Amino acid sequence: MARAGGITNAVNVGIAVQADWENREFISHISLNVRRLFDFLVQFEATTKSKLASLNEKLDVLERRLELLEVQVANASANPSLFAT
Amino acid sequence: MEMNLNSCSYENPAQAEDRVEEIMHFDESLKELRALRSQLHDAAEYCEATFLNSKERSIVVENTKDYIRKTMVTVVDHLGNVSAKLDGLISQTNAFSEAESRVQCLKQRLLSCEQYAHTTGLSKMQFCDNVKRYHKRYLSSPPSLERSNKDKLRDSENQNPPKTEEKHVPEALVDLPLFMYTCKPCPASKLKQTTASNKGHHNLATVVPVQDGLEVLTKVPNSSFHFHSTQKVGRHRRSSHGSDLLWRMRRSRRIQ
Repeated sequence: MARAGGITNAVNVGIAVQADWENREFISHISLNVRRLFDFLVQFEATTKSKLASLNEKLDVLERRLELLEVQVANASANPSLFAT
Repeated sequence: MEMNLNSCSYENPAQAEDRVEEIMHFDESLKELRALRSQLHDAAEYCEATFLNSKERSIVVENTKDYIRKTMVTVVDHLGNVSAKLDGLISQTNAFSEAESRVQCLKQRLLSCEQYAHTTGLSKMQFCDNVKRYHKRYLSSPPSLERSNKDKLRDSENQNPPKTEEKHVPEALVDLPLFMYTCKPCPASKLKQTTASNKGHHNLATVVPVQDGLEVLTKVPNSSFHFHSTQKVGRHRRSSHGSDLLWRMRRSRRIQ
């Protein structure tokens, strides 16, 4: 009986160890995927920032051109005698 | 995220509606992603409490694993959706290129207006070229200036007897204005004699006026020039050509 109880204990311990290893494997998989997700988010942030910076630069250029055009139009409208034939 | 929907006014209505729907989906997915954080925290607390309180912990662990799997898939799906929509909104924006083209169009219009203004201004300030012009050959020489030129020539001859007359004529004409310089009087010394005059017939009708550009042609031996030079410098120097002419004239008188 003692031998049978020892064998069952060993089997239970083996099952528990195997379950523990499976849990560890699952956690490692999850952590790996979370890290990949984090890396993706960091990369996405960088690319998005660069794209937004380029768009901001384009907007700045457009604003400057519009300001220049506004000034030129204001100068042209301030001197209507130039267009009088 | 607030987007200016008025910027889409220049697009087609269908495109504008699609754009609005895309923006609305992006906002909804972003809100769900934000709400997912609190849900995950609540789920983790529930799993922990269930694991601690329940007797069959293996079942709780399995349920937690399944929930974590589904949660991971959902989070990745949400993140992918949000990132794809954001990337599409950023990269596939034709509004900037259209705005740039509109700005270029305005710039071209303004440049054309400036060019028009410059042309009108130049036409006002331009020199009037309708003044009548006559050829210098048809301009009459003023007598007073001619007289002054002769006086100057006489004065110059009295003060310094010239060796050659070509040096004094340009000096007298230096003070003339430009239009008078073009119609300067042709003195007798500048008249190139033709072959008839070389033979002794001084016919002015056959005399050809020598202009400025033709002064090089005056190198042809001129009898009056040599006679004039022989009168002043003749005592000391006599050219061989002048002496021959004098000898021929004396010989013709003797024969007569």
